[in-house]
Amino acid sequence: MFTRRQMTLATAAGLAMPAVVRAQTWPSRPVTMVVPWAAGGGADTVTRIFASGFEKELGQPVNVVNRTGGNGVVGHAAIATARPDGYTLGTGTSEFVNFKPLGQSTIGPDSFDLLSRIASIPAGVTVKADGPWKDFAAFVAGVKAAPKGELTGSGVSTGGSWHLAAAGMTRTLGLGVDHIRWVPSQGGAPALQDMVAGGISLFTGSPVEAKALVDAGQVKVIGVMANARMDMYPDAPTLKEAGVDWVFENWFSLVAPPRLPAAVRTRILEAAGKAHQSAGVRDLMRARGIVPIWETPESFKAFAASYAQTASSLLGELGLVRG
Amino acid sequence: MSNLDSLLHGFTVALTFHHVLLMVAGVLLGILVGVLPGLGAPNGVTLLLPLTFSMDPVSAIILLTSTYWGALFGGSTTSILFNIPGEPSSVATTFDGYPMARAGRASEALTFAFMSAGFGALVGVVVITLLSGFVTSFALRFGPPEYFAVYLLAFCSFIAFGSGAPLKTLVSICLGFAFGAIGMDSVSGEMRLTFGLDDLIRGISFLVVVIGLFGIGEMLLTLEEGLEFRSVGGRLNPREVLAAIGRLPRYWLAMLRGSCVGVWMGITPGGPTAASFMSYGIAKRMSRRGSRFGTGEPEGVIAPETADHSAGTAAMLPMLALGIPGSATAAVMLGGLMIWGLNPGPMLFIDRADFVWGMIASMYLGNVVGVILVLATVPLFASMLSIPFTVIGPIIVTVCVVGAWTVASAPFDLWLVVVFGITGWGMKKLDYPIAPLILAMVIGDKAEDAFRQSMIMSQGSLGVLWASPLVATLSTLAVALLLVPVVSSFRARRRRFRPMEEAAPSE
Amino acid sequence: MLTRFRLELIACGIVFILGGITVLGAMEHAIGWGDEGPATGYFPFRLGIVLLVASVLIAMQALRNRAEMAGEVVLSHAGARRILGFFLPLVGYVALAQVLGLYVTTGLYLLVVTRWIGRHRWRTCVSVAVAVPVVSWFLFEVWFTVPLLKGPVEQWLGLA
Repeated sequence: MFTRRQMTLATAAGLAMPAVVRAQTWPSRPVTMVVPWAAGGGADTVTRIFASGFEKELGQPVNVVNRTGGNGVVGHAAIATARPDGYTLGTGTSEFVNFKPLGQSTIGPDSFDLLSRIASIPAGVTVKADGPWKDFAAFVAGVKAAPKGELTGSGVSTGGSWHLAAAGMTRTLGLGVDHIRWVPSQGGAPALQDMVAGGISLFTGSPVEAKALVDAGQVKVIGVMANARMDMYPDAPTLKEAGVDWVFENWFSLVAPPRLPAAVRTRILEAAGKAHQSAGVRDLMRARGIVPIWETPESFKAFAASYAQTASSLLGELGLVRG
Repeated sequence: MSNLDSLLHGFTVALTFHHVLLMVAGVLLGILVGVLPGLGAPNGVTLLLPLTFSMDPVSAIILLTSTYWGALFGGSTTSILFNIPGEPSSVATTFDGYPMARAGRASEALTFAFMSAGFGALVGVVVITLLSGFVTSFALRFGPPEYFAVYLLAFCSFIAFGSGAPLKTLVSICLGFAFGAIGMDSVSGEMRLTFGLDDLIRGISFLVVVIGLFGIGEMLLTLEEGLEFRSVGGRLNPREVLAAIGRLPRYWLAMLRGSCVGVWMGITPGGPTAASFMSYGIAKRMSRRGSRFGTGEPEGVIAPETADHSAGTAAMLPMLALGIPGSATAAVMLGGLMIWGLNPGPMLFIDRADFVWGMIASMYLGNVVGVILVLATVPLFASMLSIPFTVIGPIIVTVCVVGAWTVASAPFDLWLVVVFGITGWGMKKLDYPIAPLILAMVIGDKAEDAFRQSMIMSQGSLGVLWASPLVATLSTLAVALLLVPVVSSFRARRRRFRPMEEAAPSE
Repeated sequence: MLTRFRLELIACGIVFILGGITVLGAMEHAIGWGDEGPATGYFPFRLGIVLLVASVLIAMQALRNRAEMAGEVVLSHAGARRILGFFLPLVGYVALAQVLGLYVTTGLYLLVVTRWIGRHRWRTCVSVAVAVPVVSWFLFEVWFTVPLLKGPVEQWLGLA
């Protein structure tokens, strides 16, 4: 007969079986992707487009879950502290490199397993259609001529991505980071509305958000802060073309909690890469004016580090660094 | 008028068997989501988004909007029957709806709620149909000062300092504002009142507070006072429903007033929740039966219901025409539009007229379908009242707790429900009004943001609130609404004193 | 047995404390009115002060009406027993759910409350205690894909 000890061991092994079997056949149940922003927004849309391709590759449903709050802190924290079994992944947005400097959280790039960027959305310069500047050259002249703080910009909350875009632009023009006074807003749409109502001078957010108002003849996009012109606005020059060497692109990325099992990680990267290159996903993104990007984790890590440096130097000059 | 032609064309697009099926499915799902506290229209719509990938845009938007109407209807059901708002926009319906149910008039309350909701929604759609051009250009005149004035107006129309215990109302309001301020301050990017607690970074969710105050609090009160849910004629008499429908036209003024408030708040956009409060407040002041509000007065149900539904429908227009969502649900639908490859804006009205007018036509149909379906579910829900309290009570508790979890998957929220449950009991016992606290939480943070944005723009000058005719009108109206009851109650108190002064000298 | 008077004072105390916390929290930020308008702590600071003052005023009102309020019973023994019978299981439910997950705890809670407090037949209690979690599972996990809190039982079953 079996000894008690043997019975105990056998029972334990039997109970552990499900866990062992599961690890070997990832994914054996639906995968969750956490988005730190509200449903319907830019990050959410990109994630859903990506998830639609990703779940085809994995053969399991990919559920997109929104965890909002604290300007992204809550969602990013949820991803960083999730169990590293491959069933919880997330969309990391550029804000996470700034949490520490802004004193909002201790989470930073090292809190995640950085897998790859998924998409990039360039900033732009959007102004009122019947405003004083016909084009980017006129705008630059206007900005230089205006005293500090006379012109106002909006598009995101204080210290957010589009604020940094504006700050970097004026710094490159030799005018100092706070030459344009920043009026914080809850996202792009209210800022655009505000601009049309005459409250602010320019919008430095994603020109994609302005499309509806451009078509309505209310606003115009006079420049994009990208390396190449946008398909959506073929007439808007890049800042580089206009002689201002400044590029700013907000980015979304695929991240995971740290210390994933190696086999699962490889599988994730492989499936995600295939999903990303698929025509379905790419077409949907391009039609939205989103630039798809796929890279290796190493190159993403390097990019994140250099982005963090630029951002924290701008934040420092803006006097927003608190941690 | 070409808009009407387009609308007629839209009907031909929308009126297919397939689409009607989608409307039914959407409304039913919406009712389910609306009934469950914690889950709401945004959840239902988000849930359906992946399904819509494979559909054509017209079908997809019909499904999503039908879910939205269903959720708005569903939220009112539990508000009336159990005093638990399933949706933030149904909070105001509890004020008179629940007393009506407790007095045995549940079917009447539900019928009034649904019919007036349908009316409000229709008014909203008609406005969109006829006035789309005007509305969109109007919406574009709203910047932060105007937003602040809109919120201020909504707030002042609801709060009446002249009546009730002013100190306790003040405490409620301030607590509401304080709770709303917890978390990230979007103007400065700093964390406020979080004291280093991770759980408070999100702030305190208004949904969780409502579940605690209304759901658990009400049950504590009922239990403690030894009452039970009066088993209210569980079987629904269709004659009762029809009789209630017959009595409805008497309230035509209230319905019209509520719809106007709702359309206004949908466009500006204040949102359906603020709309329902504002409409209730205005109806209470302007109606002859105003003094009976809160005791089970039908107008107290009709006013918020018409408003929140017309706000919900009207909010679709700025979303379609300008890409500006007027509510959380509209924001999700906006995301949906992006996924289906559609660009909101005037080009949408031109290039994809089929889609736009098909959607608008479906809004008429969807609401009709919605009203019919919910009226059909009334017997189902009303019969729940006849389940013994010791079974339905615990089930409601589990629904509340689970609902609180669905908001943000945080154990902290579950404890908040418990704490706010006790608080709700205490507030009711001591006559601290709950409604102002809720309203302050709903609009407090947004109003403060708008105010501070305005101040940044004007560099600290308050004059910006009277800078344009639009904002000046709104601000003045708001202040007037606030002061009038105070002044008139002051006068009333003086009148009471004067007879005594006249009596004294003759002695 | 709780009189109205005592409850009023307890409430004033709580509001006073909340007001104080708000003021302290506000002072971690700037509380003045700069040329960019009100600073971050401006409104919270003043809200806290209002709460402090109001709670004192309400307490004074209660003291003035002490006689009348001390006679008004707000929570009787019987009422308290009824509340505790509801409240204690609720607290247990919330606490236990964090260990065993929401589904299992819901079942246990329903079983305990319907049986021991509602005194219903075993058949009713068990069927309710099983039906609600199962329906919720389908509703939330499968259909709505809104995952609920799970515990060791689901993990062991391979469902989590």
